[in-house]
Amino acid sequence: MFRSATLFHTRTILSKDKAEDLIIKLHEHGISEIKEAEQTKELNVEVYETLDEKAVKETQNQLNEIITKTINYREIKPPESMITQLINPTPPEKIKVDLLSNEKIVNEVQEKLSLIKPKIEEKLILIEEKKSIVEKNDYLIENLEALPNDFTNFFESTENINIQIGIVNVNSLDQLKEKVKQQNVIIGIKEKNELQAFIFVATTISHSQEIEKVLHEIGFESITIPFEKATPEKIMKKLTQENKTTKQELRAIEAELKGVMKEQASKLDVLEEEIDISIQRIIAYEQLNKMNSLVTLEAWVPEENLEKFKSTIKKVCKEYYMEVEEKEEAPTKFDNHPLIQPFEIITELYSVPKYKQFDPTPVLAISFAVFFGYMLTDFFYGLVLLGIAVLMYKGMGKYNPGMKKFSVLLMWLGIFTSLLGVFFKSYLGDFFPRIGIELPGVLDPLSQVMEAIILSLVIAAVHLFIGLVIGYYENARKGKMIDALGQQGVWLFLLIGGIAALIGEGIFSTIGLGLIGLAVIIQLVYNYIQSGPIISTLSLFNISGFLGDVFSYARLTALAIGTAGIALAVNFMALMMVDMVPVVGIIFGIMIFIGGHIFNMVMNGLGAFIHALRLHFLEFFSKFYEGGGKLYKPFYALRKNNYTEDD
Amino acid sequence: MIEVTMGTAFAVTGAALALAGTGIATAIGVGAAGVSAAGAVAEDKENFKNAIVFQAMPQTQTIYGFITALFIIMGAGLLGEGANLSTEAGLVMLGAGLIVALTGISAIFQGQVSAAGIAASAKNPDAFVPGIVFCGQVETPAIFGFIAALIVLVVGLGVLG
Repeated sequence: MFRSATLFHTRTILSKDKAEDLIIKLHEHGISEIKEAEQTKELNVEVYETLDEKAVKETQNQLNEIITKTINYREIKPPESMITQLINPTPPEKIKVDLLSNEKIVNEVQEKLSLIKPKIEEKLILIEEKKSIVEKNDYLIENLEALPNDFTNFFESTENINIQIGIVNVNSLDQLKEKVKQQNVIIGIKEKNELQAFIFVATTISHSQEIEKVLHEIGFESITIPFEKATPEKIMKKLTQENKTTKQELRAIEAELKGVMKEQASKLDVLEEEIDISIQRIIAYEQLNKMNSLVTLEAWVPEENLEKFKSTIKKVCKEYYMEVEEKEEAPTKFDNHPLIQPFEIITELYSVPKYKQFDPTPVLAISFAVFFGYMLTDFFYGLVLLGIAVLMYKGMGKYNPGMKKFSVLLMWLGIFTSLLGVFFKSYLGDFFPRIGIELPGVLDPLSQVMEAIILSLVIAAVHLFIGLVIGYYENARKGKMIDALGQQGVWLFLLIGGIAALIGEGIFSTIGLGLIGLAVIIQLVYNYIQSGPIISTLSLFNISGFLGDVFSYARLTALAIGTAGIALAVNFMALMMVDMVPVVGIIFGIMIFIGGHIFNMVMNGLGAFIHALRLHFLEFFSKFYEGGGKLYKPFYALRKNNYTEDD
Repeated sequence: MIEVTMGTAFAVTGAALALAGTGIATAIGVGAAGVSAAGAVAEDKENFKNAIVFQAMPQTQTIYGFITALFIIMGAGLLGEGANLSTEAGLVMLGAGLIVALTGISAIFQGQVSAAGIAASAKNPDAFVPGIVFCGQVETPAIFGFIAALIVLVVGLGVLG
């Protein structure tokens, strides 16, 4: 707590032959983060083919192709409703697989693909064929519709006569007639619709080239029709019938393919995940330093995993050389109690602390929940949040670690919203006093606005004081006593002095004023040393800035009154409806009551979250927190569709 | 019917200003965010849940305006008790309404930041929470305006007391 976990930098030299085995084991265990090894420049490094990279990538392409082509033929499971997903989601299905090397994975995928692929491809080809038949027939039917009711072979070119049939724009017809006036042609025209007309142009073979040129100029679009000794109507009937049977066949084949996919889809997903894992191994392998027959693996290993890390290496290779040391540039692995781990998301959002620097998460966990509760402040809203959180924890959280963390966060927020709701006498706003029931509470934010504002300023002073003391301690720990005094001491003196001057009497008030004076002097001197006289003078404005930070906490009360005020309005309207409208008034009243309170909870819950974030990021963190660290990301094979039984 | 005094007239004008001023600003802000939201959803429906949160941001100013208006109406005795509000008290309430109306203009600019936030988080989901915090910043004037109006109404005039 308060500091990140200890991480060791390990440098292991081992035989190149064992590298893949080691990577596989480390990937499965997820106990370390592999870092790019320093390359040895003086050695002429031999280029290794990395863990069957080419074969893996080719196999991945083949697999992806099949998955993409069959995506529409997968079984669509009816989606679970939001509530089921939340409370009782279906557990993910996982298939057991053996832990294999990249080469074996490629072989396995290829082998399975050779079995699955022909079955699927055969169906896919048939589907394409049938589809193209239907498409072609539809096209012919559309063309035939434009034709006059003569035998279609009438339009077929002969040895001496060239016949062009097609569609032109109605506006181009005059142009066409004009251009072919001198030529030896016969033109037949039938209007297709308002814009287009079907035409056929017959000419002798010797003139055909010139005519084609003219037709091209006017934007003639040639069409294909079947030439038969039958009328278009008859042919269309035949084609429509053909389409009907083809579509039936198509549906049957599609159903067969869906049947195949029902069996094979999960297998394909498992293969896809296996290939993804192979790719991750390749990326890790690229991080190693390779020289002749040896490789160097550098990794960050948390203290708690070091023994397992060593034993994993020992199991894979008998002979190796390892260096272990703690380094300052190590990534940060949070080390907090599971109950406050969800708040790490908020610290992370701002910036991850540097290795072994102060981690504000434990402090933030309390103050964030208090601020949120202060702003949403309602006993029943808190209970609702808590209820949702518990359902999420027991339902969705079972299979989704992210959701589990979020539900714990929500539980905290719910608990504090309820507790502060009691403090502020807010039980669905002022609903109970309105119906004549008095419930316990300490402060009513609506009628005791000044008290509530003063309370939020007291919270501000305590919160900022904690931040400043942490900052002072951190600077002092690093031996930066002047910075501790200039960056935090000033504000501590100002804060303590200000409080003493405001509420103290006699000597306390004088001491308070003295401390404020001291703070101003330190501020001037510190900034003079750091940045010269101009900045030093301007730095006096920071004092008003600090006061602004303190008063910014008054938003806690403003938002609390916001919640109470809207709740009051909802209760007022709902009860007015019940009083004023006979019989149905009670129904409308209940609707207003429920809808209004849900609206209030959602809107002000959002506001409470945002302003709690803001108070931490701007007012609180700026007093002491630097961040700028890098998060520890274990090299871990995340298996969603499959699992291995690894030793 | 209660007797309407000059004070009541001023007070109701204050309530009208508080709610109308913040309401117009919110409408402009939510409108700007809505235009951006529609674009983002057209690109990818997944953006909907982020966009709706951003679009809701400029609505808080109207909540402040509404609560202020409600308090003024209560203070002016229009909710049943009936009180002969003095002209001076009415003017003070008008002033309180004006503070909230003017600081509520921040909703327009909050809407612009929301619109940018919607676009940014559509491109990069990690920009969602920072975007929300940026929006929260713009609300500060409205919050202080609301606090000041509350002090005037509740502490100064004893509206709820």
